Amino acid sequence: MIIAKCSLITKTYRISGKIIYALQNVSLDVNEGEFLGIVGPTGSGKTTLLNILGTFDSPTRGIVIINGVDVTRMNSAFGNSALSYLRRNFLGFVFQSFNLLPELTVKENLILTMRIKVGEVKIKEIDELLAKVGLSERADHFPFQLSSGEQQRVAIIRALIGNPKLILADEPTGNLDNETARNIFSILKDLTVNNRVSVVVASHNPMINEFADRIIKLRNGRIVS
Amino acid sequence: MSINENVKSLKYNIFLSFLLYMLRRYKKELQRKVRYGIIIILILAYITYPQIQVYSYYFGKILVLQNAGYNIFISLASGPNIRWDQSKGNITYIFNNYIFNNPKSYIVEHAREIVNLDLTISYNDKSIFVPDVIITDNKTAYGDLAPFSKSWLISGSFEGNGMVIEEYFAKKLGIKVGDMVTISFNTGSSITSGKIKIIGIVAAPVATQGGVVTCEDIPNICSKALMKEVLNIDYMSYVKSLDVNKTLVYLKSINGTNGVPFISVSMKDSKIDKERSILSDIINVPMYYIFTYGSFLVAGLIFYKELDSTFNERKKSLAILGSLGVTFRSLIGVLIIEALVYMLILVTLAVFFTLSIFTFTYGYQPSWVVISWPLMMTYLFCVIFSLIAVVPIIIKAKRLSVMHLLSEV
Repeated sequence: MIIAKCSLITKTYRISGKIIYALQNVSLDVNEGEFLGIVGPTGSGKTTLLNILGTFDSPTRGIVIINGVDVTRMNSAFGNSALSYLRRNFLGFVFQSFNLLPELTVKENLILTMRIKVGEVKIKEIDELLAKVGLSERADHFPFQLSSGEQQRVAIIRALIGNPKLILADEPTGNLDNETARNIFSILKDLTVNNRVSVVVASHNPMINEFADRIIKLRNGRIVS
Repeated sequence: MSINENVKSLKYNIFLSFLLYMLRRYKKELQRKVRYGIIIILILAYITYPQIQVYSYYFGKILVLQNAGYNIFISLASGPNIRWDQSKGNITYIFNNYIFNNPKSYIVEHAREIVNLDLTISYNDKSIFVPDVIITDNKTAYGDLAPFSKSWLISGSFEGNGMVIEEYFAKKLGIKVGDMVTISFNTGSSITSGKIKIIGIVAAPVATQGGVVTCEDIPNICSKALMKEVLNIDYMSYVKSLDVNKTLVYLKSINGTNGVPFISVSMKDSKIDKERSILSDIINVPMYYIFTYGSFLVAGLIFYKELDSTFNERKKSLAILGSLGVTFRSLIGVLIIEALVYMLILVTLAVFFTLSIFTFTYGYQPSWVVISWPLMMTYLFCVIFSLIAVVPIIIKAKRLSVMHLLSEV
């Protein structure tokens, strides 16, 4: 079952009068329960592709469909009802810089997310998620008190709240050492196997080859393999 | 629970969570904002201060009050007990005729109804200098004042021969209705004194006068005929009016007809008065606009800047919340609430700060009844202003680039 679909998407930027192609005619299907890796050198268009899939950006041309909804032109910071619904109920995001709310503890970050995404707070569920990634002891710590790996694990379980069908991760192991990176990839892989969640990961890390079901290689905005 | 109720509950939850999160942020930001807060409070204190007055003595004997600062909020908010001065021009006209459709609030030309004296009132070895005692000439002129003053009456009445005195002075001197007090009047060359009966005690509101804003006002009333009888007044020392020409015409019109002959209004004095009046207009009117609107603008810009910098500091957090599914509508709601709360706290602090550090003319305490209307209007203006100030912030929020903010490492 196809969860997300990009058809012939092109993204251009105009810089100093010159048109720069970030993506050119990229077509892509993301299947349910699939771990899809996007690799390529810096500037190849990985992040742009992920941003378009994540409804943070719109393609210049082409169509993006997520969960059967055409989101091609939905790209505002704060969505309308449809876009917000999609982000709450269908998408989960993991970023290289974790993007946890620094004023809140780990648990509060998760509670706030659950309140926004689910509407009610189930502390037991949050405790289970924390236990799953081995962070039960860190629940009351603030993000700055955690290591990078721990913060990323919190970001991953935050992305899991609301049972999204698609998790988009942009360089989730960018700041992490090999051991921690492997741990993060394992968690993401487990999600695809156990929860049938589709995961799209853009990464430089060659370790992704071990975990991804499929790898897409981008270069200069084009899929090369 | 139906689907609709579920959706409503979810929306409420999102909004509430967002709001609670923002409150949590404020706690952290508060300390850093203190310095801005102090500046804003000071400016708001200035612009919400009803009348900042400078006392200056002219000619050695006559106390003249000059307004040094004016307040747009309070000025626009004049209520039933506050009359508009002519210098307000169009604003006065609009408020008096369209907004306050109330006979208690209309323009009164000072010269038509009152002249005033600076008296010393003595009772039981205590005395007090009372500038600007209103001398009304007859029932007609008295009638103009009565609607303003009757509601202030604490004891006694306005009827009969005698003097109505403000509560502050009455307390200061220990005077009750019916007491006979000694009043004295400096004629310039000698002091004339006589006894007069207190027929009423009034509680006056903020008593100020002159310049642009006039809060009506003068608590000490007695009739000209009686003054003539008691003090044997043969001329008036000072006529309260911005328009000296009108005053002179008025004085001429009452000359010899109301018991106080117009004999010795010194042409020299009136010339000086006129010069001062013109000078006062030249200085005061532009200053009024500069101070009032200038302060308003500065406070507004600081307020906006503050909202803006607060917004800029948390752009990333907002982007995170946006990625979690917070709707734009929730964001607008929170930004508006934030601006309102921010402004209302500042205004409240400014008002209390103002009331606590400034003394009012002659030591009157402002009556809550009288200042409640201006206060309400002040808050209303602030609410409107907050809503205006938050619009650019909402536009900025709409244009936030989530992908760039969230990609920042």
